[in-house]
This record gives sequence, C-alpha cells and structure tokens, in this order.
Amino acid sequence: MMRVKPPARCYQGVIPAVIATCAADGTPNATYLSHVFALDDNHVALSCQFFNKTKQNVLENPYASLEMYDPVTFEAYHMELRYVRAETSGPLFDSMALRIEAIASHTGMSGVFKLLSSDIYEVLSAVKLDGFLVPASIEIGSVAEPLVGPRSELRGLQIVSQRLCRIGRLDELLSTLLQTLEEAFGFEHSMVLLTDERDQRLYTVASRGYGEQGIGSEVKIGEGLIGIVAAQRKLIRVSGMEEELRYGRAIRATVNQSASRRELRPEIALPGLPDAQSHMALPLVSGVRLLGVLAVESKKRLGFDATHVPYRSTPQSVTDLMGGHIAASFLEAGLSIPLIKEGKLRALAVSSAQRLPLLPDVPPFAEVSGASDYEGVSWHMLLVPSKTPQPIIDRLHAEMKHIMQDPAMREQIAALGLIPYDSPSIEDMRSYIQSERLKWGGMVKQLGLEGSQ
Amino acid sequence: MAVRLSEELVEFIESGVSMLVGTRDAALRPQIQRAVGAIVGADRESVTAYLAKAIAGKSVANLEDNGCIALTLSRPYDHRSLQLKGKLLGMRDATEIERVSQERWHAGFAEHLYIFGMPRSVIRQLAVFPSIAVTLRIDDMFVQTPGPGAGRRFEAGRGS
Repeated sequence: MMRVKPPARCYQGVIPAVIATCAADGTPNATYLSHVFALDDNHVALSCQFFNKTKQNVLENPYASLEMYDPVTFEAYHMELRYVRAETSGPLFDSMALRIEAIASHTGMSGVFKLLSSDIYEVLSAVKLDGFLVPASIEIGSVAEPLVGPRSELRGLQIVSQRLCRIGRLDELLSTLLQTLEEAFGFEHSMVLLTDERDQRLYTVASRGYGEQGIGSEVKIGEGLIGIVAAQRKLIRVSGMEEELRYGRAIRATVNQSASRRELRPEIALPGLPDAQSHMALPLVSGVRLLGVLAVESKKRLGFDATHVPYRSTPQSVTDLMGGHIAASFLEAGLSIPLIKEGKLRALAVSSAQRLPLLPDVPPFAEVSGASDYEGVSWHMLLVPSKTPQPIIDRLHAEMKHIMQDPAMREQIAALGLIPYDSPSIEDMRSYIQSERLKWGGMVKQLGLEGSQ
Repeated sequence: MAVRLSEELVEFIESGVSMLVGTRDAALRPQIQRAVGAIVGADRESVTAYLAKAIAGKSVANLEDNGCIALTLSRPYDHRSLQLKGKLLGMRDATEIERVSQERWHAGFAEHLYIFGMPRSVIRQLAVFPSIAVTLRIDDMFVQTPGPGAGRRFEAGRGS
C-alpha cells in the first residue's frame, strides 16, 4: 500500500481527527481526537488527557484506525496505527503539554485537564480516502461564502498568507492585505498606519472602504483608539455597539474618553466612519519596534465578534481587563468595586437606572449615553411555587417587605454592590418580570442568540 | 437487554450531528469510518446508520464477520457526544426514501460545521449516497463528551 503524507494543515486540529480502537474482548470504540501531532514519516503522537477507553484499549490491543481531515478541502486521510509507548517527559511531552495548558487556561480549566502522556504510535499505513468526497467544482482557496466562527479565522489567515507571500512591493502588499481582509473576514473599512518615530505620529499609508479621504490622515501616538493601541502595543477591540441595545455610543464615547481624556482634542484627523458600531486596532510590531497599526471598523454590531466567547465568571473577565486583553467589560459591581477603589479599574458608567450607593460618582448609562431609558440590571426576588396558598404568599411578602426596610439589611445589600429596594407589591413584581422577559427575550430573538449561553 | 433511547436522545441523534462508526475484524484490528446519517428505530432500541458505499468496504466486511459496532455521535458546537455500542441486526442498501433522510442529515451537518467556518459548498461534497444502511441493537450507551466524565455509562433512559 502506498504511503501518503497528509498535508501539514490536517494536524492543526481544525477539524477533529477520529479514531477507532478495539478492546481485548472485541468491542470497538470510536471517538474524536483534539490533536494529532506529526513526529516523523512513521510516527504520530496523540495527547492523553484522561485515561479514557481509547488508551485502555491500546494497552490491551495496540492497533488503531485513524482518520484526519484537510480543514480546507475536507479530504480524508486514513491511517492504520500501532501504539508504541507513552512519554511523560521530554521535549515532545513539554510542547504538547504547553499547547494543552494554553487551551485549558483559555477555557478557564487550568488543572482540570492537562496532559497525562504523549502517546506515540507507529504509522502502519496512510492513504487518502478516495470516494469520501464527491468531486464538485470548487476552487480551492477561493472565498465563495462569508466565513464565520473561530475555524474560519484559521482559514482566513491561511488565505491572507497565501496571497501576501507572492507580493514583492509595499503598496501592493498593503492593498492586497486590506482587500483580502475584506474578502476573508468581511473587514470592509480598514487602514494601515505606519509610524514616524521622529514626531511620534502614525500616518495612513493604505485604506479601504473610506474613499480617497483615508490616505494621508495622521494620528498622534497615545491619542484616540489607534494612538493608544500604538502606545500600549496591545490590541483593542470595542464592539457590541448595537444601536438597539444602546450600549454602543456610550461605550465608544467613554472608551475614547478614558483613553486619554485630557489630551483628547476635540477633533482628530481620523478617517473613521461616523456611524461605526465596532472598532478594532492591532499594533504591528517587529521585535520591540512598533511599525504601525492596522485598524478596522464596522457599521455592524459585533462587527469583529462573530465568535461570541462569553466569560464564565466575573473574576476571569476582571483578570483579562486588568491584563489589557480586553478594553472594556460589563462587570458585577460587588467584585469590581474594591478594584475601582484601588484605582486598578476605572468605572465608566453603571448599567442601572440609578447610581450605586458605593459608587456615587459613577453615572448611570442612561445619563451619559443619551439613551434615557437604558437599564440592564440583575434583580433578586423571592419566588414560591405557583400553587402556594395566598395567605402564605401574603405573609411572606409582608415579612420580606419588613426585612427589606431594616437599615442593617440595606447596609448589607449595599455592601454587596447591590441596590437595596423597598419590596414593591406582588402585582408590580409580576409585571416587572413580564416587562423584563419582553425586553430581554425580544433582544435575544432579534440578535439570534436563542440557545446560546 | 437492549437500551432504550429517550425522546431527547432520539432528537439529538437525528439532528445532523457528526457520526462515527467503529468496527473490527477477526484479528481485532479496528476500523474507523464516518456515518452519513442515522435514524432511530420505532422501538428506540435500535439505530440505522448510513455508510457511504464508496468507502464502506472494510466496515461492511468487519460487520459481516462479527457484527460488533460502536456508533459515536457528537454535536460540533458543544462537543456533546454519545457512544452507542451494540450488535449488527441487519445490513442492506439504503433506499431512495432513506436517501431523503440522509439528505436532511447532510443539510443539518453542513449547518453545524458552517458555524465553525466550513463553507457549505465544501461539506456538500461529502459522499452520502449510495449508502449501506447498517442497523444495530443498542446494548450499551456511554457519555463521550470530552472531559473527566468521558466513557461513563449513560444511565438515564435504560429500558427493560
């Protein structure tokens, strides 16, 4: 059987590889693999994160059947393998462990999963699986459909590098870059600014989606979103500026203010879209030297956030915010107030309609954003099963009302970063729940977020 | 004792999820293959999975030899996965009517992967028909969602 070498991109884990093994009693097992590592022409390594059935089986019966896929063409490659040994130290183990730890930490699961061993398999045969796909007229590398989601980013990146590596001139490089970013990622409005180190400025050398006005505009390093990105050399993305949500303008205004309020001049010669809903700017850095900034804007809400990655908890988003990985975040008041007081975070606005007792200087969004009816809060209510007899409900309500008026209770609640509230009537609470359901339910529907977290 | 699937699992299995079939030969050499569609039997104790005929040779030979089969189902966006283990009840060419349900699976599968950036046009190239309909009796069911719980026996929905 002729040995075929799957293209390197098959090993990137974009499409999970699949494997079958067989227990000593003859029961087959089929499962997905997160990563297959190519060692040499005759060996591959699989990561063992849990002592699972696959591992158990190959210890009993070393044979395995593996299939992996080309993430661009979806062609399948089939390998017959034989388990050789497990490594628990050494360079292979270390590099696999690092990769797994990065994934674990990114998903908030450091320590929950880690590499137990690098399992090495001999490749007995490798073939391209003819007949897996029905040939159709598809141009490889073309961008026929809009790409969405995290896997598309790898594909997009691949397309960008494929196109750029053939170019020899700077102007062509820049225009091709911006054109390809639009085709591969949908970045319709983009520009590249290069640094002039002498006068601490960035000059636009290429732009797309702004007409002629984009060329020639300049930004002072340290000023505005792009200037800050240049100064800090960190990517900033501000999105979620959905007009209907009314978050947009407020965040944009306040982020710009927070960036360098004092130095901010009324008008910066920035070829920005007047109605941009999302911004992203990333520093172009070579070694320690700043070469420039690539900036993109979008009129779309979540323009650069097609991949919705919600944080599992406030502590994680606080860490990322303080680490400069994200520019702004909605945070639970209780946890962030101490950090705000210490000056580690800066509060721009509160999402409640009224000020928080512990942050009397921070204005509500409704006040500063021009969306006077804006309110996005979590609330706490005491609920009982619907069949609870009325006298019990009335008694509970009266008691809670009484408790909620107790100054000690109010103080405790305020200390948690919450707003103490006089219990409204049962009817009022019912209609409040109803109005919240209409408000958020409608928004979830409108944004197509049903079923997401 | 066969395992009976809950309504919820039936829905999961038929929702366009990714599917793998594991078999083995007389010498216990395993074989992996993707399945291209599956429907649950009316008794909910059996499942018919479809294997694209062009690449099913080894799996079919293995099933003819010993009938041992594992069917793993996984939903791409959250990796929720389930593995059914059982014995072959029957194997035949899929009919034109079954082709319709396979095409429904194919469309659903393409949507699942489209979310991750695989263009529909690429997924559409997957060979789906002609296919072999492989019916298995579910003897056991395991949680396969990645994590420490992977491999745990799925207890809920166990029938008599």
